[in-house]
Amino acid sequence: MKRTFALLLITSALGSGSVANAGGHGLFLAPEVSTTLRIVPGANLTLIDGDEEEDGGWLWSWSEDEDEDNDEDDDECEDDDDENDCAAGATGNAAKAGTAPPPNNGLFTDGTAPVQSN
Amino acid sequence: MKSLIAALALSTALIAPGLALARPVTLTVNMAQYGGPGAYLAVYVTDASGAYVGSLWMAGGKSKYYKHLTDWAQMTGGDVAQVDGITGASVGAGQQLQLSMDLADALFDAGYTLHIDAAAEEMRDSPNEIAVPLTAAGAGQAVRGRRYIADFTYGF
Repeated sequence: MKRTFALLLITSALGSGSVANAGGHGLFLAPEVSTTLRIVPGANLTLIDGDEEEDGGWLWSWSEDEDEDNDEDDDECEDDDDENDCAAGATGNAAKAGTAPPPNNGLFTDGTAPVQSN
Repeated sequence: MKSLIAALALSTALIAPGLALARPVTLTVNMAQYGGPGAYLAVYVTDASGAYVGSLWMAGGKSKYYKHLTDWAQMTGGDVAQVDGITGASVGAGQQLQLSMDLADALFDAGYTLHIDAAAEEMRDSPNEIAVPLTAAGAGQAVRGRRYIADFTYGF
């Protein structure tokens, strides 16, 4: 869906550039070549990469991951989160070490939790 | 008096094996200078057949990015409960992550493998960046990473 939208956006941008030639603006290909790139205000150009199958996988960015608040990954709750609601259950994130017991996966003896020591 | 002694003997019998099976382990991850923001790391264990056993640590707090730890996500279905209580902050380039934990002694020299998946924003995912068999002989020996991790060591 994103790709389709991106293609539509690009073709629209190119199309509008051609239409604008009538007024002497935009792309003008012959005989004296003049190329003008017009950026549609508010448009977000998306780089379409075709090498998804390469070893190592896909590149990731905030926009691809639908991070609507466009903030930095500070491992904190969002600014508009109430302090009391800023817990794993409220955000869908995992409980941080020290705030909940470790998973009972049989790896940790006696239920002891791992500790980050630096 | 007899009942007291019996209770003490029973509790000792129950507790002592648990203590004997615990092995204090330190995991050390030295990150490479990969030139990007803090990396997410999933540290987990598979058994001799390659099946997922459990997670030891998750570096990175936002679960929506866990899908980029691709092998871990595939094995767990991205289940956040797998890393509840064992999650910390992402780890920056050139930084060190050091973890201390008591692991079951039965994990060593029994075909288990420790894996680390890594990913960073706008950089390539790096599943299975580290895969090291858990053996007593392997303790203290640094294992080199591919992209984000300079080296990894576990020790007793």
